[in-house]
Amino acid sequence: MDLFINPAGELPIYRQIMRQITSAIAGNHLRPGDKLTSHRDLAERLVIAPLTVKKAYDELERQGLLETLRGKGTFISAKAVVKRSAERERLKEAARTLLHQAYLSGLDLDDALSAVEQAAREIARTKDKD
Amino acid sequence: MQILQINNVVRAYRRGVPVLDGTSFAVEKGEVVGLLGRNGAGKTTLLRILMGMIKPQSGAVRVFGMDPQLQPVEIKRRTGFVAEDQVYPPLCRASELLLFHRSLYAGWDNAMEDELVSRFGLRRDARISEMSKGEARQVALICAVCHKPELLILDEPAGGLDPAARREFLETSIQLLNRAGTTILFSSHHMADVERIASRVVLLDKGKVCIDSDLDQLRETLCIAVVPLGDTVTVAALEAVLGCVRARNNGHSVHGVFHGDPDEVAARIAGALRVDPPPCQNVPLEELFIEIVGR
Amino acid sequence: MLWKLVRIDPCFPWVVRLTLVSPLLLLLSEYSIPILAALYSAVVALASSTGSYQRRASLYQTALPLPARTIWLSRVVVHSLLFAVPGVVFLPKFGLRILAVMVSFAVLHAVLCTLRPERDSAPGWWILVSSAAFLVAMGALQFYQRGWLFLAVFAVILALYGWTWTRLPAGFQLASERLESVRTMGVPATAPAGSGQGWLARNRPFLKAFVGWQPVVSLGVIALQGSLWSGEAAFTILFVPSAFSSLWDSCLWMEATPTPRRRIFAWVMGVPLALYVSGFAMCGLTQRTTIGPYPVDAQYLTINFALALLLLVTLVQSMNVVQRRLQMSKSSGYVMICLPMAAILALFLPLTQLNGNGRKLSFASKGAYLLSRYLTDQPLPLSILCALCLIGVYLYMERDFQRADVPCRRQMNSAV
Repeated sequence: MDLFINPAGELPIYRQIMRQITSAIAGNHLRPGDKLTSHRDLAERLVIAPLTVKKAYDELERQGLLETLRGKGTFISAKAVVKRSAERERLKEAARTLLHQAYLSGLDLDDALSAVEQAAREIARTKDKD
Repeated sequence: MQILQINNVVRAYRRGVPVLDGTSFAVEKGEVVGLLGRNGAGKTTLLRILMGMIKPQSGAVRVFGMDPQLQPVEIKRRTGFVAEDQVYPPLCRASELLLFHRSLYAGWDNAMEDELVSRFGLRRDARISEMSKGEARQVALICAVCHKPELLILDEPAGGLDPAARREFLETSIQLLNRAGTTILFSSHHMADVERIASRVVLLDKGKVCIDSDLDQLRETLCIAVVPLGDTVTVAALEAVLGCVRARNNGHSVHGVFHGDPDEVAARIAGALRVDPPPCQNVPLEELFIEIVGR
Repeated sequence: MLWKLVRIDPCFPWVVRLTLVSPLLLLLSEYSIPILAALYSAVVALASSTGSYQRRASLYQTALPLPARTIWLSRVVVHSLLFAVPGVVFLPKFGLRILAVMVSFAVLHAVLCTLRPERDSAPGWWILVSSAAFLVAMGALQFYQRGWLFLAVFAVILALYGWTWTRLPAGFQLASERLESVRTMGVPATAPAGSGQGWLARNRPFLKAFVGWQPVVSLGVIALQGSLWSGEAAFTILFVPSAFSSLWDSCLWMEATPTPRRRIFAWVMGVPLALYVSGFAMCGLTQRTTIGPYPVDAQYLTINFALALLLLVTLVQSMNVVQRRLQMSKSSGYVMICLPMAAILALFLPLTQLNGNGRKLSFASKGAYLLSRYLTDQPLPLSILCALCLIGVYLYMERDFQRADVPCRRQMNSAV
């Protein structure tokens, strides 16, 4: 799993990590039982403080998405369920950004919708290829 | 356990112009603290006081529970120090310098030294005077970390380095953190670097600690409101609104730093000043820094 | 540990250089003690400016996990070696007199360096007063070469060092605990119209760069010394290079401005020269015609000083200007320094074989003797020669200076 962080981004780094892991679980890229990189290794790879990664993992564990087995590592929890409502809220935000972009470019809602449909088809096509 | 205790430190170089004016904070073991502040805010003075190189005029400083004025050698033995203007003996070769440091510290890690020298691609037989600025700083870092210090004090270590060299510097620091659980106190003007490795920030302004907070918490609890100038909107009026940390006039509008959730802050301002709810948002550290200590 | 610290001291390379050079100077006669003293003070001034002398120890040294006393001791050892090595080399030939010179400088150094091992230990005026007192003592030492006086001086040095030792804190301090008071000056908020046009406005930064304590102190010390001892050339040279390098440093930024390069050049070269000239003029006014207890004729002194002037101006300025500013390669910089020095020594060697009274020739060739004799009897041609040499060197430097597009043949601090 590759994470990407942006220190000058709007969200604190630990939130960025949490969000990306949650999205990966929601998108089935990470499945229950999968082992995560240890927080020290991830910190070295991303060049961020180990405590920040630990904080993200702890927070996710508190939400029930991760579980730590002592001496074995951190795994995706068997009963990991991403709360759809929160995900939906975030999606609405992204949609708002998309529409802003469209309106600024002089396009209307239909154009935006068709762009979304086209993107969906492209994604489906790449998935088939895999 | 508290590694550093700084209690009400006062230090001036000229009468009536205190550089540090009652600075207090403490650092726990394993913390990474970013020391921020404008130029001349007293960062370097504070770090030098911690190393026992400058005596505070009043207040108490404890490093590992010891007074840097009384036991500087003991403290320096357990500390790594890199300063921006640290000048190594120019005619010394890297190998000579490393040998010298190996003889100074008991727990010198030869494997780590070899690893870092090869990672940085340093030539051991090169003299300091033949090195570029970045290479000399890398030698300084190796000298500062290879005895596995319990505390690393970095005074603008990345000043004048290119982004790649800065990243290598950070990587080394983080590995040290991982392996030895080192406590790091560093000052920097590169906010992206601070966001990457600091878990806590201490902001010095006019010789006092202006903000001392967990970095993530700071990012999430502080927001910036941009209110267009108007009859009721002045710097003083905005500062009177509940939760305002600081407000400043930006020419066309007043920028205010507020505690609290952006939406709720917008509503609060709208109510207090009888204006439309202004745009409010959480911003990166760089913007926060400018809003809090900028003029 | 002490030896390791000495090895990494910024001044240490100068100890090595001095050790290598000093046997060469044994070729000079015993009348060249002022020259020797001048040379050594110049070298010590240079050596001091390479290290963080002003801070008493560099930031690097203070950050080492060593007690302040160890660091301080290593610095004292290095600085003492600067005097001790040539002192030992010269002892067989020049005897006590050169030792007197060396000891005197050691005392001066002890005063400057140990009274302020850190900024706190003594106020500035105390340093000045005690330096002056020791300069007087130094002159006395030249007059009365008594064994007990040497012993007394050594005792004073030891006492000073011991006293400092007891006063040292556990860790080196980079700044004084004492507070300076702030002076506030009324400056008009906006400059009146038409200002910035006059000569003063255009040259003020240069004036500010040059007016400092060094020129003032140096002239005072020279006047004081001139009346006591003929080695005052040493003091001109001790202070002028420091004034010169600080002047140079504080004028460098102007190269980025549209200030005419000729003006920068004129100031940076002219001020030290003016200092030298005024220094030597003062020597001339207050000069005794003896070196210690030995009578010397005035002509000899004139030539002595003229040569010292030429030698040191060339040495110091070509060192700084040619190498640093013009970014010449190091080797050609050294050639620029060594050629004039060799020429001067060649000219000077037969002269130094002359006895002050008898003028008998020991080994120099007859031709060289005749030339030197001619020059000694005719100070005017020699002065003209010196002046021509100086002008030549300056013109050469200025030509390079004027070429703005001189490619950086080698940056001083970059890898090859």
